Amino acid sequence: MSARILVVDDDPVAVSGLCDLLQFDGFVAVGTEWPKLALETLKAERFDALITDLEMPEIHGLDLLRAAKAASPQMPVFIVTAYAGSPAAEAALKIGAHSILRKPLAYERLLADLQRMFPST
Amino acid sequence: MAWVLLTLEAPPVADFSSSTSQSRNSCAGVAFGSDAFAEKEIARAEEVAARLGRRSRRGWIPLLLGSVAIIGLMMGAWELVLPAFGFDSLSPALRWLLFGRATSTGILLALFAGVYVNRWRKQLEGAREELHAQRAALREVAWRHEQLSGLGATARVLAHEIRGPLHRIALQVAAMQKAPDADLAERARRASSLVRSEVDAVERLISEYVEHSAGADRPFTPGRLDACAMLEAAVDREAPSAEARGVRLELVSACDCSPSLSGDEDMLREALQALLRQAVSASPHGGRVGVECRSSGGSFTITVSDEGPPFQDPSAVFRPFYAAPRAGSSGLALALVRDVVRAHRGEISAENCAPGARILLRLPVEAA
Repeated sequence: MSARILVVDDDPVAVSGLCDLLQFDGFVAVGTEWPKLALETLKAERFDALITDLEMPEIHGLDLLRAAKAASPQMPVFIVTAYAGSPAAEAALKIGAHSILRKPLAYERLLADLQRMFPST
Repeated sequence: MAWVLLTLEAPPVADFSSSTSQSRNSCAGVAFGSDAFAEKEIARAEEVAARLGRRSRRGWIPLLLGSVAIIGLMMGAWELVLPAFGFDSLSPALRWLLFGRATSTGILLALFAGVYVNRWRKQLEGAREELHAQRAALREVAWRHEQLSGLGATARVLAHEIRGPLHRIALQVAAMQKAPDADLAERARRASSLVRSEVDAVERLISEYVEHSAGADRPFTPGRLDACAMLEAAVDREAPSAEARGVRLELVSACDCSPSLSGDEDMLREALQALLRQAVSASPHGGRVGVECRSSGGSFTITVSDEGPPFQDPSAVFRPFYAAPRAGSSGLALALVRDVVRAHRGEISAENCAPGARILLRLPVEAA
């Protein structure tokens, strides 16, 4: 069974690009550029992993991370940000993010992590 | 005498030495600490310098009064002592000698006090000068710290602004590589279009940065301008890109006459286009950007409303490298618009409205 991954970024081009890539590699990717919608989706649906940006309007990526961890403490959360060494990125690791990935994304590294976590995909 | 000495015993030099050592220590602190810390230290140094100055100036008053008082007391005492002990029968020469000795004793005491006060004054002056030097050094350190942190912030934001397009390009290219053959042509077309627009965005960012860095060095060529015609031209220029993004760009003019502005036409036109461009970029597909203009009370007001996401902090959007620019904006565009508006003695402000956001620009109208 394919793992379901939620992709959140306020940049719609980045969301569609990453969702396409994940789908090519056998994952079920659901993407949104609206963090508020992502928050509601996280509460309503089950996801196996979350990939989110940090700096977004309306809701910060850290809030999404907290919500994801509250909904499912075991769910791995990947942070994709241009500010990989920022205090927010460090805070994300403390809250429980699996890893911080710098933009431009090294997709193969993300894919390797996902395939290790979800070998059945 | 005792009173004079008491007034001279104030120990500001000790105050200064402790403050100076604190200031010296704080120089190192400023290099690694915050600007607020440096400002606090500077304020403290200024306060000590002002206090020393006041004490130093006041030091002459007790000296003068003390000297007069001593001489007066000596003379008065002498006049009392002479009759009481029958010395009033002394010869004038002897009386002059005794009286003169008392007077000279008073004068010597006053001189001694004067020398003492003068030495103290010199110490204070030296201390003040050193304190001022310390203050200047602190200011220099604080300024350098500010410059370095500004450079660091600039570099971080520039890196972010360039990584965004690179991220989008990288994802699209990777998706193209993995796409099935049937989709390849369509994906290649989309990716090449994206790469072109991202290259344009990075080029625009670099141009804006260079323009922002040039700042006041940019030549200002004033002339008489037709405000409404200039705004219409800016809207016409941005209309094609708005249409391509599926955004309606509408101009509503409430001017009963076309007001005349004094300013640099190129600068104002570019600023207006940048204003419209950021509104169009922030708007969702199918959204509307409304441009309204009005002339009243000696000013020409332009309002650009869009249906994009609200500003995180409307009061900060004109700050260079604003940390949370909206989609399609570099974080410098609105700072440049503000620079141009200010150069024309105008005002600009931003506010959120439901839905979207609004920017108001007010320029002074030239008298007919």
